[in-house]
Amino acid sequence: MSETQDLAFSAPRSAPRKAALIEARSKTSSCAFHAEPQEPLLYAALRAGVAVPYECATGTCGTCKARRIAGVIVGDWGEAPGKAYLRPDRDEVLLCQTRALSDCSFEIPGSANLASTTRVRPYFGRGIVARIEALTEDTVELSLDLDPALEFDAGQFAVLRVPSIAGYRGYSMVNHPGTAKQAKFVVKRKPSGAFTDWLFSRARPGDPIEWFGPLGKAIFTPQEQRTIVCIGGGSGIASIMSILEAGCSSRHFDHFEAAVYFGVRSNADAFYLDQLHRFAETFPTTLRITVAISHDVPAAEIRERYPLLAFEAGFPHEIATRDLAGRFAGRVAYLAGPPILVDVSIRMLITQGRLPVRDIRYDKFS
Amino acid sequence: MSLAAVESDNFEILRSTDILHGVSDATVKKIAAVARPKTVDEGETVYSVGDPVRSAYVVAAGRLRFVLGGDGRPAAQGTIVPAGDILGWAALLGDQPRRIATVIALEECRLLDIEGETLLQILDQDPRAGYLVMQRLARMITQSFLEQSTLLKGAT
Repeated sequence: MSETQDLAFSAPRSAPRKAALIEARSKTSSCAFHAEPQEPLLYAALRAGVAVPYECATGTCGTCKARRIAGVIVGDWGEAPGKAYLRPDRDEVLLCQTRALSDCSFEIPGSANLASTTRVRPYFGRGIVARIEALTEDTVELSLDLDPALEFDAGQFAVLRVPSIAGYRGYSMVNHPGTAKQAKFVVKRKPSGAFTDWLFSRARPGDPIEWFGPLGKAIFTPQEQRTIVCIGGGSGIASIMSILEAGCSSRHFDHFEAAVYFGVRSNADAFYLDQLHRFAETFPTTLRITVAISHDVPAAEIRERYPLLAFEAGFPHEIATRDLAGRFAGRVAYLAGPPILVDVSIRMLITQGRLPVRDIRYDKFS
Repeated sequence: MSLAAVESDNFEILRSTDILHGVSDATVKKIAAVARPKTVDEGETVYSVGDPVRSAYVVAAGRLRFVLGGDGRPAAQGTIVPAGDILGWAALLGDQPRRIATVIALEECRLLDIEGETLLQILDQDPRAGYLVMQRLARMITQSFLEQSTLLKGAT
């Protein structure tokens, strides 16, 4: 069979009654896994421990590109930005936006090793909205009660979906890693974003949410025993909060320094300052946290209120470059936030920090 | 294909690129003579972050994905490089010993591999061509920084 359908989310789905058998092969390895009728093939692969390359898991980046060799499939998000990297005439698809209507086989480009090395395989779960708390005018903290609990490492993310809205969105967990019955996420309102429109205007405690996780490779583990530098912008501070929580609770910062740069546009856009100040109080000599304000002069009142935090005008990667000149060696860098901030930070860390690429960790899922 | 045919093919490819627009046929012929055709398969990496900088590449056919950093992982901010564009121009700057980006073929691609030092020697012999090429490189770099700056301002 070699028929493709490209249906909108709202269209009726003629799903098979049983899981499909999916075969995938790259130049160097091959594997097989089962996919349930309603699950994206990427999620089915990751759930089965198959390391299909991915980055955003939500149709944006194009990393989970594969070529269909055989089988009937259905596409989900027809306008997924990641489709720019495909050649539809060659039956290329995004596995995160594709479901199987029959047994299928796919070719993964390049020499990807499909054997998984993740500590925790991602899995599906359900949750309900426990609380929505405003952090700034356009950013909220979303707390979910989870069933089952979500096991994750500091720095990871999950994808969330509301039953009434098509598609998954990726958000990093803010809270302490481990096995969490409740997870917190930072969500910034997006213009014309269906999920954030729902969250900011109609969502109520008790509303159901589906999730799939944990995902992502930008993981912090205290066992590595390394000094770190974290550069995050806006809602990207979420994963850095989780890293700081993990570092504080494990007393990692008793022995290893951390430099944190949190970028926001204006004084009014800064949030989590109470929590960040508490971290700095706990480890005043080893933990240096700077709030970088790109479009404003840091206000005197926040400087006075949070004396252990530094406030500087500028972009976080620029301030990090100046602060850490000659002191990047040996650090692991964690980057989070808007993709452009991650990109310029990578450029800085390679050219000026001279960090090896293996020590620069990030997940781009905006 | 004979050497003359390869050079003629290279010449036609180079002649159609923006970066060599207005450069004399004689100089383009010299570049065509040192350019080495190279085929890369879909998913193959042309160069990775940290690799030594040796060559610039003209894309004769196919599309590639350019990603800053990335340890081989394509990522959201990657850029698609189409046929006719030049890749790896750090080879013409002299003071950039290591790659800071990763380039992966999105499909089977044909490239012309031109050693940076050799190209600079050819441009040394034709200052007008050198001026045109460097002017266009400067424009590309400026454009890249302007786009980056605009994106950053709207990002957080």
